[in-house]
Amino acid sequence: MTVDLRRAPAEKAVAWRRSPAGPPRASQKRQTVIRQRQYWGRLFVLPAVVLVSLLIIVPSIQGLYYSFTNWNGRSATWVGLDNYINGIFLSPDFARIALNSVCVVLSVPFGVALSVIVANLLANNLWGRAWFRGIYFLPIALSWVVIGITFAYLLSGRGPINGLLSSVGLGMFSQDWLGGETSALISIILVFNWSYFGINVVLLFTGMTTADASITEAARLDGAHGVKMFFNIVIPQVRRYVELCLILTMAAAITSIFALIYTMTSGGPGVSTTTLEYALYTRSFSLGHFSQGAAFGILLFLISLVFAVVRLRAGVKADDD
Amino acid sequence: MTDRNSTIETDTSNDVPLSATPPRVAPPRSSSAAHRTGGRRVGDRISALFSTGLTRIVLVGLAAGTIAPLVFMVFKSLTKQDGTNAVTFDAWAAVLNGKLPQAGLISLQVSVIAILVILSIATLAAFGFAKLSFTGSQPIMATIIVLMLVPGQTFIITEYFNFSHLGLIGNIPAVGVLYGVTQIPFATFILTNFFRAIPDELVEAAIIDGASYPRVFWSIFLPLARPAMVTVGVLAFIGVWNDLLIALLFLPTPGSRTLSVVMAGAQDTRTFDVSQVMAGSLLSAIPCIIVYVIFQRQIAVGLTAGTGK
Repeated sequence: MTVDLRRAPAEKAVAWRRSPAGPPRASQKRQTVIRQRQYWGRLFVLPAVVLVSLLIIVPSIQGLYYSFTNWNGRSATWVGLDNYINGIFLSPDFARIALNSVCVVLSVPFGVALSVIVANLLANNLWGRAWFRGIYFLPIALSWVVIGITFAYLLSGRGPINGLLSSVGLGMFSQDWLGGETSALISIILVFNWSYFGINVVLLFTGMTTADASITEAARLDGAHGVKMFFNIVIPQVRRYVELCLILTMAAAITSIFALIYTMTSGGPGVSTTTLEYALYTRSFSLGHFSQGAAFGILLFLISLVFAVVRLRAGVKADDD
Repeated sequence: MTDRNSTIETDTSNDVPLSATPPRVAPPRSSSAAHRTGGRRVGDRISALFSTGLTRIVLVGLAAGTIAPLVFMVFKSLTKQDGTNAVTFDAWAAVLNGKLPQAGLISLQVSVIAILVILSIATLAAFGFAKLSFTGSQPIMATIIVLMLVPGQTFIITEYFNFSHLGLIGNIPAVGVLYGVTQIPFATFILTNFFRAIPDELVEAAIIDGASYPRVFWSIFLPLARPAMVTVGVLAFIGVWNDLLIALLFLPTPGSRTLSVVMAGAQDTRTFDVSQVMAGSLLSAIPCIIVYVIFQRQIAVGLTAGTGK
């Protein structure tokens, strides 16, 4: 560390001394400044590096290691890929768990598409704009626990949603929504998209109102309107925001709806609403298969990585054309 | 910004020859002039009125759909569940005299510690990365920012055993620090971008005038960074206050449970009292709703931080 610290300025100082332009006194002063800056730079960054290493990097590497072992929290024996092959991919409920995750992720584009349409309505509407904005964005302040508890009650057998159905003569559809395998999954997906709908509307609305208004105005004067205006002018202008919404919401679908599932269905009935993320929790802390949980953790990381690469590619492409 | 605009222009110019509308360079047409003077035909006016009305109905309907569960919670928490729907504050009284206020205090402690950790550590690091570049600073910064991609689940199990071996399960300050550190990558990313936009000359001038680097950081950059720090702090508060997974695993002892943990557990118990659960949910949501009402704009700015360049 200390050797490294002195080397770079010393080289620069030599270069300065050889150059005829820089007077020696100025170069010495400059050298001290550079050395000082390097010294303080390292010192300022040090706490973050130490904490992040101890609490993120080291446990992640431990997780990677334990995912290749049979581990009960105390002792571990190397088992190679057994946790991935037999613990995850060949386990009897994996097909359903993967399907659940895929369903939640694939529902996101539909939710975001609806958000784009509504954001466009909002951007073309001055009436009560601040109020709508405030209301739509509100779910961001609500926790999954609060949302989950409320909807679990709303959707329960004797809950208000069934009450509403019977009162409008659709009583034959009323059921315990979270009790059936398919209806529980659909309920989770709808509640998840409900929570992100307004957030995405506001983000896209922000994009639409900060976009260059002169382009929209020029297009309008040229006779563009309605659907054509929406697809040719509005969408290209907010493309980055659409990508952001897709990525944020999909990432949440993969790695942060644990609490929603925990409070609404606890992953059930059976594993019908268990996603990859929720399986990590049940495998580790309900069943005690910690190394399988660690393997799920690595799997989730790889999925996040794929998302990031896709996003980076999309960004590069957008910059190219 | 400029490439985005050029993209849009090429898109439209590609499109125009295909459509039946006149080319872009056409002189102003009478119809568009009529639009501006308000001399529209009756049919146009009716359809405009219709679309405005429809827009408003859709927007109001969706707003109602968004806020309905919240209204429902308020209603349930304030009424008797015996069919009469008489207004009563029993549920609120029961909740306020129960274990929720204590849990709220723990949530507050954890959140405050996390925010202090994030803001102090990440502003220091961001200043170092943005203004005091040293040999190897770029790879280190890249590593920290790449950690934004690592989901908490990847390290939570091993972290749990590490904490357990050190006897830190149920230790509120330690878990507050853990929460803070999980958000350092994101906070460093935002704050580094923020500091980079401030001219280097500001540092150089102050150094030439004899100020030390810590002094430059403390007296010049920290005050300038206030808006970015507010954004980071607000997002961190909402994230920590609302989190369940880490709290559930790391703060399981009765005296250390956060609001989220208590609420998530309340639902399981056999004595499921709708009014009390709704009152409790609202109570646990109120701090975040207040923060949201005050800092709405900063939250949106923080979430869109990845889009701008």
